[in-house]
Amino acid sequence: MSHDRYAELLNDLVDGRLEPGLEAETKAHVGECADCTREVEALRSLLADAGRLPRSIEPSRDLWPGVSNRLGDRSRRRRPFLRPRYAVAAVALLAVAFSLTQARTKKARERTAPRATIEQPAAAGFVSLTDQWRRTEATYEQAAVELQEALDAVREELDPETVARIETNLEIIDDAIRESRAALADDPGNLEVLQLLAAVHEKKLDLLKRATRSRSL
Amino acid sequence: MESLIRRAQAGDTEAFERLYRANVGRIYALCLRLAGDPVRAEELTQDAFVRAWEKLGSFRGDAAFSTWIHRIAVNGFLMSTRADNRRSSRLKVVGDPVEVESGARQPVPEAGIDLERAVGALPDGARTVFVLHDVEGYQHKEIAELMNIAPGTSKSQLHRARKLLREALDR
Repeated sequence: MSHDRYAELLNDLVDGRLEPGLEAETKAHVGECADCTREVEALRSLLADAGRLPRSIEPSRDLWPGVSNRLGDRSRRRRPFLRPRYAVAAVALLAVAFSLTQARTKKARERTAPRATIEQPAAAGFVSLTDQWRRTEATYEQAAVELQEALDAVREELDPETVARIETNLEIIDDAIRESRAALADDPGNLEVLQLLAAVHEKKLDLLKRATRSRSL
Repeated sequence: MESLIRRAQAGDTEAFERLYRANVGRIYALCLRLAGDPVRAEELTQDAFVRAWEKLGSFRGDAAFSTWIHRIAVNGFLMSTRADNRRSSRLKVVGDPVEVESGARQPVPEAGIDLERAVGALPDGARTVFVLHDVEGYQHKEIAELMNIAPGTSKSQLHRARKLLREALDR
């Protein structure tokens, strides 16, 4: 058997996963081969270190309150529709939607950064949420149009490969926007879809901003 | 422990809190290594205990409670990762348009960083298999079933992880 073939077996050797005959043969090769000896020693050292990693690590804060708040009667318990992180993001999105609609008179460049300060949590129901989202989405779209114009103005100065990548990525993002809108049309109150759609818009603005800035890099 | 489990099964949240306190470090360590992110690890840990509470009625004591909730945490991580992958695949872009001009590259782990950090920097699939196999002691067959991959894929991911870790640790 060749050295390369033995080298492929070294992981199985240290894991004790070779058939007895092959194990003896491989060990004999390792005994005569300095490279394989070093390889086996390094693997064993890595496994020994992995085995010494602490089995228990205390979290930096007490997680029990977050657990106990979610414990209910098991017979009636249902999993929440949104994970806590997404629920927080969805609430933030409502507030951002509200603050963005208040900020429409600001300069166009400022509108391209829709992570506005959260002014107050929205208490609206799904119908008004949808209306607010439409206004927010219009703001996203206007910002994208202005950034696209800025990008078009510097397009000739960019590397053709970069331009091709930007355009491919914009097509992917626009497809995602269309799909997310279709999903939202099917389920207008779905906060997760709404969050996804907002994320896609953010992605588009981020791409356009970075692409426009890349000229000066 | 059995008494605590019986009380928790009857709806006693104080008993369940004691079970939580006895196991949270072990579950958090697992989630931290699997996720490579303390915030996500906290979320996964909490999810695991909430799911355990919900399923406690079906716990028969065939395995230790610690083993049972360990498996719940691993399954929760894998399910969450699949959901995140489905979500992000809809947004996946081709390369980075700015990277072409700026020359930016993916960060390469420095030599000499400790094993925990090096594990955290592994690609997702390789990290999951390394943690389950080399840290937690799962067999490739179990990992393959959990991750819905072939045992050979689990082995190749493990070998890749070890190779990357040795490079990162300069061994």
